[in-house]
Amino acid sequence: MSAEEDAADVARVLAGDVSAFEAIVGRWQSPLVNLAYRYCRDRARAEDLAQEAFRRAYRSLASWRREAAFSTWLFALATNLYRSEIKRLPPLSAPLDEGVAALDRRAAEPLIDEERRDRVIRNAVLALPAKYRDALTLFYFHGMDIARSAASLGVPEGTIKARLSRGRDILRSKLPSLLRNA
Amino acid sequence: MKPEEIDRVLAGESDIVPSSGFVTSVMDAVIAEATAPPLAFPWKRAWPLVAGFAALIPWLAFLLSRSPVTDGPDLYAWFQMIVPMATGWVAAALAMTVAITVWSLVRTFARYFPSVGAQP
Repeated sequence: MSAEEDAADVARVLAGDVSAFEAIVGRWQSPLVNLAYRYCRDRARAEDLAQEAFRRAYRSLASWRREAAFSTWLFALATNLYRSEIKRLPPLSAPLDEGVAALDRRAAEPLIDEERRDRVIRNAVLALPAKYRDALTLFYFHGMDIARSAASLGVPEGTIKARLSRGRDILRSKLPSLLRNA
Repeated sequence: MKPEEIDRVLAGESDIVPSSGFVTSVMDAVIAEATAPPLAFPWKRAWPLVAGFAALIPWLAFLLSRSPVTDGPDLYAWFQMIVPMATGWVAAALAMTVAITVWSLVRTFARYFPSVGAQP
Protein backbone atom coordinates (compact mmCIF):
# COMPACT_ATOMS: atom_id res chain seq x y z
CA MET A 1 0.00 0.00 0.00
CA SER A 2 1.52 3.27 -1.08
CA ALA A 3 1.62 6.37 1.07
CA GLU A 4 1.81 8.49 -2.11
CA GLU A 5 -1.39 6.92 -3.42
CA ASP A 6 -3.12 7.67 -0.13
CA ALA A 7 -1.92 11.28 -0.14
CA ALA A 8 -3.00 11.76 -3.76
CA ASP A 9 -6.44 10.28 -3.17
CA VAL A 10 -6.96 12.34 -0.03
CA ALA A 11 -6.04 15.47 -1.98
CA ARG A 12 -8.56 14.58 -4.68
CA VAL A 13 -11.31 13.96 -2.12
CA LEU A 14 -10.56 17.24 -0.40
CA ALA A 15 -10.73 18.97 -3.78
CA GLY A 16 -14.29 17.68 -4.15
CA ASP A 17 -13.86 14.37 -5.98
CA VAL A 18 -15.82 12.02 -3.69
CA SER A 19 -15.21 9.03 -5.99
CA ALA A 20 -11.48 9.13 -5.10
CA PHE A 21 -12.44 7.90 -1.66
CA GLU A 22 -13.33 4.54 -3.23
CA ALA A 23 -9.65 3.81 -3.81
CA ILE A 24 -8.92 4.52 -0.14
CA VAL A 25 -11.73 2.19 0.94
CA GLY A 26 -10.49 -0.47 -1.46
CA ARG A 27 -6.95 -0.30 -0.09
CA TRP A 28 -7.88 -0.23 3.59
CA GLN A 29 -11.06 -2.29 3.77
CA SER A 30 -9.35 -5.51 4.75
CA PRO A 31 -7.21 -4.08 7.60
CA LEU A 32 -10.10 -2.08 9.02
CA VAL A 33 -12.59 -4.96 8.86
CA ASN A 34 -10.04 -7.33 10.39
CA LEU A 35 -9.18 -4.95 13.20
CA ALA A 36 -12.90 -4.55 13.94
CA TYR A 37 -13.30 -8.32 13.85
CA ARG A 38 -10.64 -8.71 16.51
CA TYR A 39 -12.66 -6.40 18.71
CA CYS A 40 -16.03 -8.08 18.27
CA ARG A 41 -15.50 -11.58 16.78
CA ASP A 42 -18.55 -11.08 14.62
CA ARG A 43 -18.16 -10.65 10.86
CA ALA A 44 -21.34 -8.63 10.22
CA ARG A 45 -20.69 -6.35 13.16
CA ALA A 46 -17.07 -5.94 12.06
CA GLU A 47 -18.19 -4.71 8.64
CA ASP A 48 -20.67 -2.30 10.22
CA LEU A 49 -17.94 -0.92 12.47
CA ALA A 50 -15.48 -0.61 9.58
CA GLN A 51 -18.10 1.16 7.47
CA GLU A 52 -18.68 3.67 10.25
CA ALA A 53 -14.90 4.13 10.56
CA PHE A 54 -14.66 4.95 6.84
CA ARG A 55 -17.56 7.40 7.11
CA ARG A 56 -15.86 9.17 9.98
CA ALA A 57 -12.58 9.16 8.09
CA TYR A 58 -14.32 10.79 5.13
CA ARG A 59 -15.85 13.44 7.36
CA SER A 60 -12.58 14.31 9.09
CA LEU A 61 -10.18 13.79 6.19
CA ALA A 62 -9.10 17.42 6.38
CA SER A 63 -7.82 16.87 9.91
CA TRP A 64 -5.14 14.41 8.73
CA ARG A 65 -1.80 16.12 9.35
CA ARG A 66 0.69 14.83 6.87
CA GLU A 67 3.50 14.44 9.44
CA ALA A 68 2.07 11.01 10.27
CA ALA A 69 1.34 8.31 7.70
CA PHE A 70 -2.25 8.15 6.51
CA SER A 71 -2.46 4.58 7.82
CA THR A 72 -1.43 5.73 11.33
CA TRP A 73 -4.15 8.36 11.32
CA LEU A 74 -6.74 5.94 9.93
CA PHE A 75 -5.92 3.19 12.44
CA ALA A 76 -6.02 5.64 15.35
CA LEU A 77 -9.44 6.89 14.21
CA ALA A 78 -10.76 3.34 13.71
CA THR A 79 -9.34 2.12 17.02
CA ASN A 80 -11.01 4.96 18.90
CA LEU A 81 -14.32 4.21 17.25
CA TYR A 82 -14.11 0.44 17.84
CA ARG A 83 -13.20 0.90 21.49
CA SER A 84 -16.10 3.22 22.16
CA GLU A 85 -18.59 1.16 20.14
CA ILE A 86 -17.57 -2.06 21.89
CA LYS A 87 -18.34 -0.37 25.21
CA ARG A 88 -21.85 0.45 24.01
CA LEU A 89 -22.65 -2.96 22.55
CA PRO A 90 -23.29 -6.03 24.68
CA PRO A 91 -20.17 -8.22 24.88
CA LEU A 92 -20.11 -11.51 23.03
CA SER A 93 -18.20 -13.20 25.80
CA ALA A 94 -18.56 -13.10 29.55
CA PRO A 95 -15.82 -11.62 31.76
CA LEU A 96 -12.98 -14.04 32.45
CA ASP A 97 -14.00 -14.97 35.99
CA GLU A 98 -17.64 -15.46 35.05
CA GLY A 99 -16.57 -17.53 32.07
CA VAL A 100 -14.43 -19.76 34.21
CA ALA A 101 -17.19 -20.20 36.77
CA ALA A 102 -19.72 -21.07 34.09
CA LEU A 103 -17.37 -23.46 32.40
CA ASP A 104 -16.56 -25.20 35.68
CA ARG A 105 -20.13 -26.38 35.84
CA ARG A 106 -19.79 -28.24 32.57
CA ALA A 107 -18.39 -31.70 32.26
CA ALA A 108 -14.80 -31.25 31.13
CA GLU A 109 -13.64 -33.07 28.07
CA PRO A 110 -10.17 -34.55 28.29
CA LEU A 111 -9.01 -33.20 24.98
CA ILE A 112 -9.88 -30.25 22.86
CA ASP A 113 -8.84 -29.73 19.33
CA GLU A 114 -6.38 -27.03 18.44
CA GLU A 115 -8.92 -24.83 16.69
CA ARG A 116 -11.15 -24.74 19.74
CA ARG A 117 -8.22 -23.96 21.99
CA ASP A 118 -7.15 -21.08 19.75
CA ARG A 119 -10.69 -19.72 19.82
CA VAL A 120 -10.73 -19.86 23.62
CA ILE A 121 -7.46 -17.91 23.77
CA ARG A 122 -8.69 -15.25 21.32
CA ASN A 123 -11.98 -14.81 23.14
CA ALA A 124 -10.11 -14.61 26.43
CA VAL A 125 -8.29 -11.53 25.11
CA LEU A 126 -11.66 -9.82 24.58
CA ALA A 127 -12.60 -10.53 28.17
CA LEU A 128 -9.51 -8.79 29.57
CA PRO A 129 -9.86 -5.33 31.13
CA ALA A 130 -10.08 -2.80 28.27
CA LYS A 131 -6.57 -1.34 28.50
CA TYR A 132 -4.92 -4.77 28.33
CA ARG A 133 -7.36 -5.99 25.68
CA ASP A 134 -6.55 -2.97 23.48
CA ALA A 135 -2.80 -3.39 23.89
CA LEU A 136 -2.87 -7.10 23.05
CA THR A 137 -5.36 -6.73 20.20
CA LEU A 138 -3.37 -3.99 18.46
CA PHE A 139 0.02 -5.54 19.15
CA TYR A 140 -0.89 -8.79 17.44
CA PHE A 141 -2.94 -7.07 14.73
CA HIS A 142 0.09 -4.92 13.81
CA GLY A 143 2.35 -7.96 13.57
CA MET A 144 3.82 -7.50 17.08
CA ASP A 145 4.99 -3.97 16.27
CA ILE A 146 5.09 -1.92 19.47
CA ALA A 147 5.51 1.46 17.74
CA ARG A 148 2.50 1.02 15.47
CA SER A 149 0.37 -0.28 18.34
CA ALA A 150 1.33 2.73 20.43
CA ALA A 151 0.49 5.09 17.56
CA SER A 152 -2.92 3.49 17.05
CA LEU A 153 -3.75 3.84 20.72
CA GLY A 154 -2.13 7.25 21.13
CA VAL A 155 -0.02 6.17 24.11
CA PRO A 156 3.77 5.98 24.66
CA GLU A 157 5.56 2.78 23.70
CA GLY A 158 6.50 2.15 27.33
CA THR A 159 2.82 2.12 28.27
CA ILE A 160 2.11 -0.46 25.59
CA LYS A 161 4.97 -2.66 26.83
CA ALA A 162 3.73 -2.49 30.41
CA ARG A 163 0.15 -3.26 29.40
CA LEU A 164 1.26 -6.13 27.18
CA SER A 165 3.22 -7.64 30.00
CA ARG A 166 0.38 -7.32 32.51
CA GLY A 167 -2.21 -8.45 29.96
CA ARG A 168 -0.22 -11.55 29.12
CA ASP A 169 0.19 -12.33 32.82
CA ILE A 170 -3.57 -12.15 33.39
CA LEU A 171 -4.20 -14.22 30.28
CA ARG A 172 -1.70 -16.88 31.32
CA SER A 173 -3.15 -17.10 34.81
CA LYS A 174 -6.70 -17.58 33.52
CA LEU A 175 -6.04 -19.77 30.50
CA PRO A 176 -5.39 -23.11 32.20
CA SER A 177 -8.85 -23.24 33.73
CA LEU A 178 -10.50 -21.89 30.59
CA LEU A 179 -8.76 -24.46 28.43
CA ARG A 180 -9.41 -27.30 30.88
CA ASN A 181 -13.10 -26.57 30.81
CA ALA A 182 -13.52 -25.54 27.19
CA MET B 1 0.81 -22.36 28.65
CA LYS B 2 4.06 -20.92 27.31
CA PRO B 3 4.21 -17.24 26.27
CA GLU B 4 5.48 -18.22 22.82
CA GLU B 5 2.44 -20.38 22.34
CA ILE B 6 0.13 -17.47 23.15
CA ASP B 7 2.11 -15.31 20.73
CA ARG B 8 1.79 -17.96 18.04
CA VAL B 9 -1.99 -18.27 18.47
CA LEU B 10 -2.68 -14.54 18.63
CA ALA B 11 -0.24 -13.47 15.94
CA GLY B 12 -1.08 -16.33 13.61
CA GLU B 13 -4.76 -15.57 13.30
CA SER B 14 -5.88 -15.72 9.69
CA ASP B 15 -7.61 -12.69 8.21
CA ILE B 16 -11.25 -12.55 7.22
CA VAL B 17 -12.15 -11.26 3.77
CA PRO B 18 -14.66 -8.39 3.61
CA SER B 19 -17.82 -9.24 1.71
CA SER B 20 -17.86 -8.40 -2.00
CA GLY B 21 -20.30 -5.53 -1.63
CA PHE B 22 -18.45 -3.84 1.21
CA VAL B 23 -16.75 -1.10 -0.84
CA THR B 24 -20.03 -0.32 -2.64
CA SER B 25 -21.89 -0.16 0.64
CA VAL B 26 -19.33 2.22 2.16
CA MET B 27 -19.31 4.42 -0.94
CA ASP B 28 -23.13 4.56 -1.00
CA ALA B 29 -23.06 5.80 2.59
CA VAL B 30 -20.28 8.30 1.87
CA ILE B 31 -21.94 9.65 -1.29
CA ALA B 32 -25.28 9.96 0.51
CA GLU B 33 -23.52 11.98 3.17
CA ALA B 34 -21.60 14.09 0.66
CA THR B 35 -24.67 14.93 -1.42
CA ALA B 36 -27.05 15.49 1.46
CA PRO B 37 -28.28 19.09 1.62
CA PRO B 38 -26.74 21.12 4.42
CA LEU B 39 -28.75 21.16 7.61
CA ALA B 40 -31.20 24.03 7.69
CA PHE B 41 -31.21 26.33 10.70
CA PRO B 42 -33.86 24.99 13.12
CA TRP B 43 -36.08 28.07 13.13
CA LYS B 44 -39.01 26.13 14.58
CA ARG B 45 -37.02 25.40 17.70
CA ALA B 46 -35.20 28.69 17.80
CA TRP B 47 -38.10 31.11 17.41
CA PRO B 48 -39.15 31.10 21.11
CA LEU B 49 -35.59 32.05 22.03
CA VAL B 50 -35.48 34.78 19.38
CA ALA B 51 -38.89 36.06 20.51
CA GLY B 52 -37.71 36.02 24.12
CA PHE B 53 -34.70 38.15 23.30
CA ALA B 54 -36.83 40.48 21.21
CA ALA B 55 -39.21 40.94 24.13
CA LEU B 56 -36.31 41.51 26.50
CA ILE B 57 -35.20 44.69 24.77
CA PRO B 58 -38.41 46.73 25.35
CA TRP B 59 -38.64 45.27 28.84
CA LEU B 60 -35.12 46.48 29.69
CA ALA B 61 -35.93 49.84 28.15
CA PHE B 62 -39.03 50.02 30.34
CA LEU B 63 -37.01 49.16 33.46
CA LEU B 64 -34.42 51.79 32.64
CA SER B 65 -37.10 54.38 32.04
CA ARG B 66 -38.51 53.72 35.53
CA SER B 67 -35.18 54.17 37.27
CA PRO B 68 -34.81 57.58 38.92
CA VAL B 69 -33.12 60.14 36.77
CA THR B 70 -29.90 61.40 38.31
CA ASP B 71 -26.68 62.83 36.98
CA GLY B 72 -25.73 59.42 35.68
CA PRO B 73 -27.36 55.99 35.63
CA ASP B 74 -28.22 54.88 39.20
CA LEU B 75 -26.90 51.34 38.94
CA TYR B 76 -27.52 50.58 42.61
CA ALA B 77 -31.22 51.35 42.31
CA TRP B 78 -31.37 49.42 39.08
CA PHE B 79 -29.79 46.33 40.68
CA GLN B 80 -32.10 46.65 43.70
CA MET B 81 -35.02 46.46 41.31
CA ILE B 82 -33.72 43.69 39.08
CA VAL B 83 -32.21 41.27 41.63
CA PRO B 84 -35.52 40.03 43.10
CA MET B 85 -36.74 39.36 39.56
CA ALA B 86 -33.51 37.61 38.59
CA THR B 87 -33.65 35.34 41.64
CA GLY B 88 -36.61 33.52 40.17
CA TRP B 89 -34.81 33.01 36.87
CA VAL B 90 -31.68 31.74 38.60
CA ALA B 91 -33.76 29.32 40.68
CA ALA B 92 -35.53 28.10 37.54
CA ALA B 93 -32.21 27.59 35.73
CA LEU B 94 -30.80 25.67 38.69
CA ALA B 95 -33.90 23.47 38.89
CA MET B 96 -33.65 22.78 35.17
CA THR B 97 -29.94 21.90 35.46
CA VAL B 98 -30.64 19.47 38.30
CA ALA B 99 -33.52 17.88 36.38
CA ILE B 100 -31.41 17.43 33.21
CA THR B 101 -28.50 15.98 35.21
CA VAL B 102 -30.75 13.47 36.98
CA TRP B 103 -32.41 12.55 33.69
CA SER B 104 -28.99 11.99 32.00
CA LEU B 105 -27.76 9.85 34.92
CA VAL B 106 -30.90 7.72 34.82
CA ARG B 107 -30.49 7.20 31.06
CA THR B 108 -26.78 6.37 31.43
CA PHE B 109 -27.44 3.84 34.17
CA ALA B 110 -30.26 2.28 32.15
CA ARG B 111 -27.92 1.89 29.17
CA TYR B 112 -24.88 0.48 30.94
CA PHE B 113 -26.60 -1.44 33.73
CA PRO B 114 -29.83 -2.65 32.12
CA SER B 115 -30.18 -5.46 34.68
CA VAL B 116 -30.31 -3.06 37.67
CA GLY B 117 -33.89 -2.74 38.79
CA ALA B 118 -35.09 -5.47 36.43
CA GLN B 119 -37.46 -8.05 37.84
CA PRO B 120 -35.77 -11.42 38.54
